[in-house]
Amino acid sequence: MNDKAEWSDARLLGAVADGDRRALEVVYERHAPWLLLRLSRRCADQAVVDEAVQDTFVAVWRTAGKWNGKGDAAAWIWGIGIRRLLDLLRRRPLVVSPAYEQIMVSAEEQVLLGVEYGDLGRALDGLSPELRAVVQATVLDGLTTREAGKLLGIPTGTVKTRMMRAKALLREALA
Amino acid sequence: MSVVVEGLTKAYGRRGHALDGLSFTAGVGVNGLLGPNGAGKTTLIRLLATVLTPDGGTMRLLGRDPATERSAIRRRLGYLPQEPGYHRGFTVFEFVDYVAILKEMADRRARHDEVRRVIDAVGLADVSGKKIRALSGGMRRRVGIAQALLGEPELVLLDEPTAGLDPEERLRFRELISRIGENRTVILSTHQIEDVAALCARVVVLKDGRSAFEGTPKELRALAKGRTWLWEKKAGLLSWRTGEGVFRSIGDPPEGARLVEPTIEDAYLLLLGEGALAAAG
Amino acid sequence: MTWHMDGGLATRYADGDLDATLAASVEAHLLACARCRGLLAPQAPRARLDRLWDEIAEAVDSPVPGPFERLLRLVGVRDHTARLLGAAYSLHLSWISAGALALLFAVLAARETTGWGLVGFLALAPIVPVAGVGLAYGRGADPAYEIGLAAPYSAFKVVLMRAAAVLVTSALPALVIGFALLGQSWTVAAWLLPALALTSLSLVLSRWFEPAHCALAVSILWLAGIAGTNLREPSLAMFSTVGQLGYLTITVVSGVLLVARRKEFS
Repeated sequence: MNDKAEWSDARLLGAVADGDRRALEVVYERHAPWLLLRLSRRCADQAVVDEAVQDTFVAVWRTAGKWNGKGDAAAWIWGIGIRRLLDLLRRRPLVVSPAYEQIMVSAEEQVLLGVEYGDLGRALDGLSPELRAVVQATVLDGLTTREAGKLLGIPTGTVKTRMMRAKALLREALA
Repeated sequence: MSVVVEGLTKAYGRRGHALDGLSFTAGVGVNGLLGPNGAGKTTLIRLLATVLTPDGGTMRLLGRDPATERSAIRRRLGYLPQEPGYHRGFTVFEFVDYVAILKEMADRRARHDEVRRVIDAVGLADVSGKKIRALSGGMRRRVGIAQALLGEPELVLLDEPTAGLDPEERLRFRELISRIGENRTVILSTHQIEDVAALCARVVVLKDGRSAFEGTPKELRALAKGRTWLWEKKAGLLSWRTGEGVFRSIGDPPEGARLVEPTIEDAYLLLLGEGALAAAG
Repeated sequence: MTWHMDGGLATRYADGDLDATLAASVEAHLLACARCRGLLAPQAPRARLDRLWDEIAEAVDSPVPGPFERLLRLVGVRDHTARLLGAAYSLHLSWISAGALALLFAVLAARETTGWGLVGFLALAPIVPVAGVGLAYGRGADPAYEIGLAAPYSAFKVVLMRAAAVLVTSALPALVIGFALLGQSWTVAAWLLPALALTSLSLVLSRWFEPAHCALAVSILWLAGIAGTNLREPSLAMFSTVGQLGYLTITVVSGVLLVARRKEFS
């Protein structure tokens, strides 16, 4: 129906920054599904996830000009999405999402290729849920220590110490 | 018939009459309004838009009398003026939304849905967030058409929507206007004769505030049948040298002239030319 | 990159059936792989995505109101009415503040000399709303004027609403400036009735002429009257009780004329 479906993310975001509504629609078609699914794994409340997804793409519309064009646009969109979710959760009385208690962690692509069956996977499995949640929030979701602290409902200092403990345990397990 | 006009007169300043006893009817489809500048096209469109009130004669628009049921007519009317203005700082969406408010669409959500629909219909969805001042002339004209489509009007008045557009844009407008005319009455004022030939079911030729012709484009063309010819010399009412070096003329042919198939333009010029001669005589 | 999801993995991820480690792999991979993101697209609930898109489109399209419009909404004006009012240039904050500033300078400049300052202020204060109303509608002030004429929304209503909005917003700063800089006496409000009389008169006239021209003509008339009564020394003759009664009469008569002839207004 429209040739913009073939455009690269970078070109689309450039057009969005220029006020192109159709380009935003294509970006949405491309990125909303995975964002919705991934955010759903962070928060069980559908209404909150919906709002976060909405906010994310409205923010993409308003700030597409600020995307620096480096790296994958998906990472940028995820960064907005997880922070929106965080903001929304913060406003709610019940902060910590249950999903965080059991989800796992990975670092970078190369490491992850081996995670499933490798030593790192076993090492991560060996971490306590609290330590795993910290590693996940900072490494996988790309949050800062402060944001991770707010999300998990613990002070920034605690995030840092737990992170150090987690690293030490992982090093030990992999040694 | 959606538009029935009889003996319409409208004085124009001190210069005399913009309309001087005009009668015509128009129904569903695209109705072309042809005429030279000053023939009263814009005055007629503004009368039909209920912006002006006539000095004499009768009008029935969508079966109603504009003198007593103006609001009811306006609710079913779309109007693109000859030189529509646009608020400088408005985006396309904001402008169309503003007109939608003037069209009494109070419910915000429903109004926005309708605004999106008409912006989509004229192919401007891509730029609906852009400021109007950043758009090309053709796109601005499409914004004008979009607002005229708000609320599914039964009567759409377009005053020279293709003037000043480049050929490609004009072709796109033809497609758009013919689509609009599929299920409603469109009155299209223009001096692009090819537009009339291409899309109008009926055509009215205005001349000096009166109707000089009313019928189908085919009937208009037939007026020039047997009165369009090629010859070596300049002759007839109007004559011009063609690229092949012979003269193409309209009017009463002399002996030995080679008759050719007329175009709508020939017929239109013939109509205007004859009148001009009569006025001079 | 050699590792990719397959359809089965995508379904299991979407359904939340993956164990934590594998899910983490998937998520890290997703950020870098458009193909695998595409695999997830059919897994997301379509109706929900469409509904969300409608909301996003609405948020993105919705006109962003300017400061004046926000102010109007704050005091309870409905959003479409605020839009109609806010579209008038002379209702933009810049215009109103310019009018207030002009008054302020008039007052400051003339405050020293006794009497003249007050007369100057009282003479200028009604001009601000008259000018604002003159520039609030009409062919010259409203680019979409012609389209508006053919719209069912009553042009008369638009004119009156804008005039009222201009009057209120421009009268407020004038009142504040008057009381703050020229003392507490009610004399400093003596321009209120003249302002009403002049604006309503120019509204009546705009049935025949361009609103901006009407405002100009009425203002000149007013200033001529002031000049005529102040030839030698500052005089408040134009603001006497008789004068005020006269302004009241003009206002009432103009109001009646406006309402009676509202049909002819568009």
